[in-house]
Parts: sequence; structure tokens; C-alpha cells
Amino acid sequence: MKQEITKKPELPPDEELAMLVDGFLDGNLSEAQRDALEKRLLSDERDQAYYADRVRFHAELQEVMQPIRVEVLQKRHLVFERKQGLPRFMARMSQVVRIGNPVSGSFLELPPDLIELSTLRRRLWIIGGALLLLVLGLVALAVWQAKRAAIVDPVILALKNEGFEQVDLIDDEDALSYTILNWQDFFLSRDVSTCDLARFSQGRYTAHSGNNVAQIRPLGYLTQILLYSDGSPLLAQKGLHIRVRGWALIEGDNKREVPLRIDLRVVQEVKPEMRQYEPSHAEARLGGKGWQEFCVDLPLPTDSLVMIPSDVEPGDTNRALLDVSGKVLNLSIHNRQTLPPVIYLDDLSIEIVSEESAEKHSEPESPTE
Amino acid sequence: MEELPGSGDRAVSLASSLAVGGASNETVVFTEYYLETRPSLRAYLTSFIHDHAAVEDCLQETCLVLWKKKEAHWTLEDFRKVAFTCARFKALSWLKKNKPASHLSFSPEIAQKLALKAAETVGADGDTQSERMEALLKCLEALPGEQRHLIEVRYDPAESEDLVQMAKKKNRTLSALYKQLERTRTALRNCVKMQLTRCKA
Repeated sequence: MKQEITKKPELPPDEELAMLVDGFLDGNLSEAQRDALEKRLLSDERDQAYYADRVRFHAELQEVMQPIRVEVLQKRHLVFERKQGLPRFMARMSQVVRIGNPVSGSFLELPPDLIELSTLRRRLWIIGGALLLLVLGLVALAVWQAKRAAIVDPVILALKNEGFEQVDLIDDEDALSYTILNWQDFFLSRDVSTCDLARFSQGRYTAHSGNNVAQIRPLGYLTQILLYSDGSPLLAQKGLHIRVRGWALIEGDNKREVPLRIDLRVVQEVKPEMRQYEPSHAEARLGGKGWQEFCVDLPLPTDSLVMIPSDVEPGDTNRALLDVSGKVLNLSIHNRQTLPPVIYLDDLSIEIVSEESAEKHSEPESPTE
Repeated sequence: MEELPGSGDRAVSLASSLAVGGASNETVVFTEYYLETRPSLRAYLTSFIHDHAAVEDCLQETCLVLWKKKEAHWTLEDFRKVAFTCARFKALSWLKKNKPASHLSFSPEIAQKLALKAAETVGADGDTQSERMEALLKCLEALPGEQRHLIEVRYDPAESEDLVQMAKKKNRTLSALYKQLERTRTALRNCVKMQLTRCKA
């Protein structure tokens, strides 16, 4: 037998074809050789027959050399379930044939599982895709929320109508209005106005920014309840330190300094008897020509906020002490001069210098009306 | 799992072994047809796809489709017809997805023509697949040790050595080994032919 195999080989149609066909099966042909083989196979039926025989023999060699195992597998399905309150037990047995290669571990089961391999793959893809979409959605949501959180302004203490532009004076003939929004909380002063300065002064002055300014005539005053940007009030606390800045203009050729009084107040009562407390006050000394910047610090006492009223109705002798801690603060700006000049204000701002003291706590007590 | 008797003589023992194992008649018949068709299906697929693992996958997927399509009255010939059709679709689908290197495959038209030729060779000499496989086994056993080892290195997936390592070890060029492989295949093929002729005689 060995002699038959080694000594009597039957030759293929030609050596070149044998080399090309076996080279193709072994995957070691160049592209040019593959083209040459394809050309020969296209044109010659005998070559095709040789190729077909060789491919089949190659496949048979693979089949023989790879161990194939056929197994009968017994499957037992034991199911316990509770249906309508009654326990139910089911036992089922089935046999499957497994065909495969024990070396590679690749087996095929007959009858196959209900889910076909390709279907299983498709389902896995769908589940994978859905999970991916879910993850992407969650990431997008997280990014969106992070961005949203980033663009939300922090809660800060801010003045309302700080540039006095909220009243539109374009159609106002005399460029002056007694309406001065947000600056007449608790009390109304007849000696303050919103003023379109350029028109009002017939071009002598212009606003520091925009068109309008606040005009404070002698004994006039502005008051505003201090609120955070989220609408909650600023409450009096020991050690609270507030800073107010702004721009002021003194009308005329004034040669002496003009004081501008700025207070932090607690309005405890308005009616029937007005009573106010003043935990902090300061004065800006204004002089010179043109717009000048001022800055005043308003620190609250650090030891005690128990104090006597600063302002009461004329003739009122009640000087009862009051602890103003936790009371709503308001800002008052006064021109306490009894005579001209008129003061113009623009672009006011406020900030908390000592932030740790500016905590917002319980609901403030309202002044008695 | 039950070990089946008669592993040396697959064709004779398979049906009875599976029946003893408790497999249904439908499964037994299907398994027999599948195993009988497998080598020619492999040859058919090899004409399209060069990648060995891909051919294995296509074989398995073809088998699953066949199981779904099978009908009780099918003969082996019916099985083979449907099997080659399914295999063609699987192969074309694999080629479309994977686009192998051009030197490893023919154009789909020529591949299909050659695959059909390979499939037509089955039964052309009046030999059954199992007879051919038996003859091949005998011829392999008769191969001289070195040639047998070369065939094992090339075809046995359990063999740790590959042709490159073998060439190095034997201090030969890779192309010399391929040439030897080609000659060994030819010798084996001739041996199988001779064996089958003897059987008929």
C-alpha cells in the first residue's frame, strides 16, 4: 500500500495547473497567479473538472482530519410555578443531537434551540443598540443638565432698576417722571424723579449710561427693599457687611462737598406710627464737576443688633429697643441738604463683602402696617 | 450525554446509535443526510470562501436553515439540492459582508460555476460519500510518517505546529513544503481512486 502511494502518482493535466490549484487552496498564490488560474478555469472544462475534484478532495481531507463528534444529549426541564394560587410542577425530557468538533468546541444542536443563531445575533445587536442609545441618551441628559446648571446665574444680592431705565421717558415732554420704579418701597418721596438727563438739561449733562438717571432734590430720598436675585430678602445679621457703589453728578458749579447719606434700615412700622431702625449708615462726600464714582461700606455691628429707633413720627417718644436680627433690610439713599444743589445718581450696585454673615434664614417679620 | 457505539463505522452505526440514544427518527434521518452531504457542502463553500473558520460557520448556519426547511418526504437528493442553495446564499452573504482579499477568492460568477462543478463530482463515480471517506482514511494510514505529519500539520486543527514552523525545523523553504504537500495530496487522491476501483471490482 505504501509503495502504491509513493511510487505511482497519477499526474494532473499539467504541473502548472496542479501548482496553481493547490496554491489557491493553501492561500499562497499571488494576485497574478490567481488571475492566471481564473483565466485557465474560465476557458478549459478539463481544468475546471480537475479543480472541482481537487477542491472536493481538499474538503474531504479537512473532514477526515477534523474529529467530528455526534452526541445524543438528554435535556430535562423541571418547572415549578404557582398558578392561581395553586402550585404546579412540570417535568419534561427531550433528546437533542449535537454535531461538532470537540477540539474547537463548536457544536450544532438538532433540533436547534428555538432561537436561530442569526436571530440571536440580530437580537443581541438590537439589545446592544438599544443599550447604546440609552447610554448615549443618559450621557446627553447629564451633559445638558450640567450645562443648564452651569448657565443658571448664582443667587446674588442685586439692586432693581439700578440704572433707572425701567421708566420710558421717550414720550414724556418734560423728560421727568415722579415714577421711579423699585425705589419707593415703604415710603414715597416727592423730591425724587426719573429723569432723561440729556433732554431735561437741554444737553448740558448726559446720563452716565443709557438715558435716565435718578434726580434727588433737597430732602429727597430713595428706598428699596434688598432682595437676592431669587427674590428672597436680605436679613439683618451680626457682622453683615454691605458695599454700595454708584455714580453721582452734582448740578451746577458747586464748590463745596455735598453729602449723600446711604443707610441700611429696618422698617418696623409704617402705620399708624412710623418706626425705623438703622443698623448701619455711611456718607459719600460728593464734589467737583461731572460724574464721579462713590463707594460706601455699610457694616452691621458684630456684637449686638439690639437698637433704638432711628426714625419715628415727630412727637413720638417711644424709643423701645428692638433686636433687628433676621429683619428685612432696605437701602435708603438721602439728599439731606435743605437747599440745592440737586444730585443725580446712575448705575448703582450693591454687594455683600462679608458673605458668611449674609445667611438667609427663617421667614422675615413683616413691618406692622 | 451518551457516548454512541460504533464510532469507527459512522455510516453503518449512526442511525442505530442515535436511535438507541433516544433521538427521534426525524433527527436521525436529518443527521445522516447532513453528515453525508457535509464534505461536498464544504467543497462547495470552499470555492466561494477561502477562510476555514468562515466555511465552518456557513456550514452550521446552512444546517440550521435546512432544519427549518426540512420536509418529511425528503430523500438525500432533495436534501442536497436545498443544502447547496442555502449554502450559496450563506456564502454570498459572507462575501458581501467580509470582502476578502482578491488573491484569496475568485469572482462570484466563476466561484459559483466552480462550486457547482465541485458539487457535481459527488456520486459521479457511483461512490457514496462514506465509501470515499473510508478509502481516504485507509490511504492516510498508509502514508509514510513524514508525509502523514505534513498532512496533519496542514489539516489537523489540534496540531500545534504550523507549516512555517515545520519548514524552519526541517531547514526547508516554505514553497518546498507546499510542493511536497501538493504531491502528497495527489498521491492520496490516486490512492483513494485505486481503493474505490478495487472495491467495485
